[in-house]
Amino acid sequence: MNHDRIEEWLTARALGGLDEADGAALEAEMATHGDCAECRRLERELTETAGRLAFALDPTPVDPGTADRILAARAVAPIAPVAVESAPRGTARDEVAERRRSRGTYTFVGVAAGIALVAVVAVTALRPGGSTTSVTAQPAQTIVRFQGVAGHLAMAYTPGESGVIFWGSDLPDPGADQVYEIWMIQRGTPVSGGCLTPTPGGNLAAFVDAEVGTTDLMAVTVEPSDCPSAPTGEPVLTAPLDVA
Amino acid sequence: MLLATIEPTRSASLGSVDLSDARDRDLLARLRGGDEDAFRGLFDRYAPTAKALALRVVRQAHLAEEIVQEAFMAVWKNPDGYDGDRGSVRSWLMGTVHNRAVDLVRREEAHRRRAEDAIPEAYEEQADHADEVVEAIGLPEERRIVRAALAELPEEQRRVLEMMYFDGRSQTQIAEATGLPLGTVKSRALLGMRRMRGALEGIER
Repeated sequence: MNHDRIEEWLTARALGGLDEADGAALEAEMATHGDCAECRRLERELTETAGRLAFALDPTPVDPGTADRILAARAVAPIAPVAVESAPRGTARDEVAERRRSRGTYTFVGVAAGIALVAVVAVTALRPGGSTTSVTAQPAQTIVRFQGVAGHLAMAYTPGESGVIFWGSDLPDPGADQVYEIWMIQRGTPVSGGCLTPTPGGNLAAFVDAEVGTTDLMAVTVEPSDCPSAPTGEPVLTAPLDVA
Repeated sequence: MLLATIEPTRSASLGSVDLSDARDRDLLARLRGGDEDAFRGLFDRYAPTAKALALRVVRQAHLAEEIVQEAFMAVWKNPDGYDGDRGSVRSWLMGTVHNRAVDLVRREEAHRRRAEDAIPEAYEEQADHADEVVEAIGLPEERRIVRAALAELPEEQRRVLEMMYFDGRSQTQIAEATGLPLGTVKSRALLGMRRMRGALEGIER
């Protein structure tokens, strides 16, 4: 069997330059080869060679906090039991990262272990039909449960410190080209806390780099996916905060 | 700039490359057990090169930073994504970063075009920083080998590889940009990569 054509396609794919039509042709051709040792060898060698091309470049300094943020993100992973039933862990996180890329309005990178601990406690508190709206998990950490018509949502934060973690379940799909936007109502003025999209199963876990501060009411609205700076719809979830 | 004219020393380099990958695989094995030091070891070793690659493709520092973060986040969360039968850890990492960067470029092609005017300035700034760190974490032997192999390519083959890999262009886009027939672009990429494989992996062509 002649592999020249496959080698040509695999070469382009390894370099990231394979045209769409050729990609389809490659897949079709590979499908006819079955368990093809020569195909695997070519793919391995070409992928290896392409990967090493990167080392022709001089290294570029990375933000010194990046490794810490990544490690912190994994620390929050155990809170995800409400978010992993029907979607891979991190789907909501990816959505938020994508929005952050396009908007740059907030960051989502994971949370410190302390907040993760709060969240684990909070997941326990997040039960349909409950009446508690605010639970203090530890002396300095607060968990708040939203109430409304759209699924279950809770948040955890440490008063006076930046960083709020949100997690939810049974959240309805906000609709095509729409997202949930979180608002911090401060003296009657809504301040956006960022936009979130639940997984297809309605779960959500996200960290927003914001400080609750003097917020007296949290609210969630359904908004266009461009995440407007002022709410355009009625709240579907709210949570009053005791800031006294 | 990208290339340096240095004679390759393949036989000596292959040994160091193998040892390097063995060390990387060990780090990855520890990482599977949640060893944060192992993650930091891998990150410190490859993130600067990953960022250089992402920056070269997407041409915007903040996007490159996010690509690196996402790629290493994926490694940290799912180290089992690496298949040892399919190549070295470093190539897998760079492939992960490169795929993300190229995907982003394809999605934001118009955005990238607008940013091209800013490239020279951005690169000058980055080059200054690179000078400071290149000796500390530079994997100098690996860089020397790859640069030498690239430098030995015929100019027309090297140019196609660079446009495809470092600029994130498809073969059709390269043909349009250079005025070359698409078939010529494909054959130059094929021949260039054959030569690179021969130089880097000891595969005679």
